[in-house]
Amino acid sequence: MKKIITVLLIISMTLAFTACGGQDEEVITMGFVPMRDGDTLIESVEPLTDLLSEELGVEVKGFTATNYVGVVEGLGSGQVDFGFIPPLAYVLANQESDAEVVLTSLNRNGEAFYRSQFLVREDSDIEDFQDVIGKTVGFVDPSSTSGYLFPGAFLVTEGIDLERDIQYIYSGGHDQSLQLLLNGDIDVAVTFVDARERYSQDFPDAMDRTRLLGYTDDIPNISVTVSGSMEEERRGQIQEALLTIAEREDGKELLQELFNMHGFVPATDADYEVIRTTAEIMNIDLRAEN
Amino acid sequence: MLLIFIGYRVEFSLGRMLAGLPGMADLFRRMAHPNFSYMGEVFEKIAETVEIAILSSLTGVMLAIPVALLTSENISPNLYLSKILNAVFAFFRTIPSLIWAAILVSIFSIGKFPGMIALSIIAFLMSLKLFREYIESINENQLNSTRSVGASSLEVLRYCVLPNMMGMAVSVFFIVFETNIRSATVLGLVGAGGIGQIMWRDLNHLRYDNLATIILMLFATILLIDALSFMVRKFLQEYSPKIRSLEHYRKRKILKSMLLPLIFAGLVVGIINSLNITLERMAVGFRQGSQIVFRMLQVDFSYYPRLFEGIFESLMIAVFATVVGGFFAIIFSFFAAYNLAPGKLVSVGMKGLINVMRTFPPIIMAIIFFRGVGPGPLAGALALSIYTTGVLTKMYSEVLENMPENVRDSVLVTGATRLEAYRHGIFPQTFANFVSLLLYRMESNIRNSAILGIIGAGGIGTALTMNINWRNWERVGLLLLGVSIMIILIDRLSNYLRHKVK
Repeated sequence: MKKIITVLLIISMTLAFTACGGQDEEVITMGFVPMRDGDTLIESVEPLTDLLSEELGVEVKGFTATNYVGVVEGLGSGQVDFGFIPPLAYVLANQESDAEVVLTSLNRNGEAFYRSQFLVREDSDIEDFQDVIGKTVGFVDPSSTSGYLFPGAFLVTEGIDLERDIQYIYSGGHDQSLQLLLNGDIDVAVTFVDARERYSQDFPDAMDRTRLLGYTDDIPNISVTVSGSMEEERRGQIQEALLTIAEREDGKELLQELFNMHGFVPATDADYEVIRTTAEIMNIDLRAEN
Repeated sequence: MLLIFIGYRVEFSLGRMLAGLPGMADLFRRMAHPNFSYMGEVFEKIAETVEIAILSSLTGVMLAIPVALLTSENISPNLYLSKILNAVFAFFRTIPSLIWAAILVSIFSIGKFPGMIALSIIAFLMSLKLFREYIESINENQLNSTRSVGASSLEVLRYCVLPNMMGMAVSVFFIVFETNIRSATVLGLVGAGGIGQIMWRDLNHLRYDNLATIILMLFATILLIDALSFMVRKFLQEYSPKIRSLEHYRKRKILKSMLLPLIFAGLVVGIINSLNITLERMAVGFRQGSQIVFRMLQVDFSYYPRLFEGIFESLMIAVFATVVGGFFAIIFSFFAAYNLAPGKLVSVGMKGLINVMRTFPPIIMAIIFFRGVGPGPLAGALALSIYTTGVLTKMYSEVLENMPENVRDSVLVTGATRLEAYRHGIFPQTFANFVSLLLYRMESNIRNSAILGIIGAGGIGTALTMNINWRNWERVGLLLLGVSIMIILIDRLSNYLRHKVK
């Protein structure tokens, strides 16, 4: 009996020690939070970190997460050096800890922004946004930039009071919004632009049975954000390295195929100001006391 | 001695990791100012969650009782039937609640109802396991003596098994109820409403002041449930009716026979109330739900490298958390059990501490560790260790409290201190129970580690949630298969160890 416990303890001890080890040499930690509305399922960032290690001459370790909170907190405490994070996550990281955006990715049209769409059923009586009043709208979830923040603010600027004029639910995913729309549970769905194409295997008749009501305003693309505690020189190096990789033949191909990123442009905080103003329209109090 | 020595080393290295990192303290500081104006909204959501949890726990427990009779090997009408059923339910038990919710949302749309069904399923599977283990532990003599007086198997059920189970049902209900309240926070992820929804919103907006309010109120809720459970159990134990007349006895009998149907009727009304969809809609949903299941069955085996990587990491996280949790639970239980602790106050204080440890959602704990030790499995493992310590201490200290006084006293009488009595008398005596609890935690930790993957704390969870988001059901199928096989293997192993220890 005692042996079992001893063995288990030894296992745990080695675990604890291996986790502690390796702190002596410099390692750059990169967090990657794929946007749920991106085009590619990103599971391994190793190809990218390999290229980055090569460019920077320092080992880069990467990890992925589906939710950004961990990465934002990691950037805040300096445990994560830089990360690919969604626009709203950048604004939060910046307000919390002076983390700073250095790059924005480009989509396949070479744009640094994207949009999301409002869908209704083909036979719906909703012709313009005024008709949305009195209907049920499906948002994705309160933390989604393209599935809640921007479309919500768009409706508000159209003169619709979200609490009084419409009913809304959070579906939990762009796919689920589409599904709920098809099933008649909601009247308006908000999804990223290619949702109907991407989920065509699940909902083959989505194209025929739904129609487009309109688009939201432009949303800045995924950001490359560096930790506030990183020295100026290193920030420049990372920015430079990513730009170089996007220029290199092999790097370009890799970024396009695995990450659906078609290059980067340098970005500043001002490019993401639109997120803050939109959050304000939506009454999301991002500036809570810290 | 060796044990303690190694423990010291682990603690030491952990201590060093924690000490040098003010980042974590910073997060705690931000959580130290709960937003009290937010309590109204939280209260509403907690009430919703409690309602869902009560309904689903009742449904689960009531469904589990008859099925448990079929699956328990000692009283089942057919041994093969029980074996097959057990295998099926063992597989179902390994399915993370997130997957249940994903399938159910597609069938029943968004809202209370799918959340309730998901929780009912979890409650059913959990109580089934508890009941079955209990029935199988009923002494064979007791069964045989009832049989020997010529009782048919139905009569054995009526007079020997069921009376034993009724008392058990109440405590199972409370265990399941508490678990359901906790699971509800996870289900909020997929739009199943309740406290989980606002918890995820506040987490995603980094509103730690609001989160602190939620956690505080969650803590109060769980304390209340604990107190309630204690009171109800005590009442049932000490309750002995005084019967004054035959008339009185008849009345009681009628009342008693009406109690169960009444609960049942209340349940049906409650379920119908939360059901807000048409039959037609349900048919559409079933079609889509079955499509998901069908695609999951077409397992994409080419995805195995990611599976092995994730499973290995999950396993490591679970082993680490279970071992560290187990170690601290041995120490903490001594101080938490009121019949052993150096003083009543120590015991109460310790119980408070472990309640905090097990109420604090592991995912938020993991984020705190993220700030401290950086991203990766270690943050997840540490977060789960804290949670495991809390749960295990609670369970084990209850075992200690329930053990007969004479075991402790017979060691104390030799002049040993309480600690020595614990170390040399009580701990060895209850070691089998402890190992059994520990292994049970291990299994649940693997499931828990799936959730931590969402924020990047390692394990199978990252791959699982990503593929659910992308509706890659064929890959979800493979991941699920892998997790199931691992959990079933651990289950086998733990059965083996349990028998060995006994």
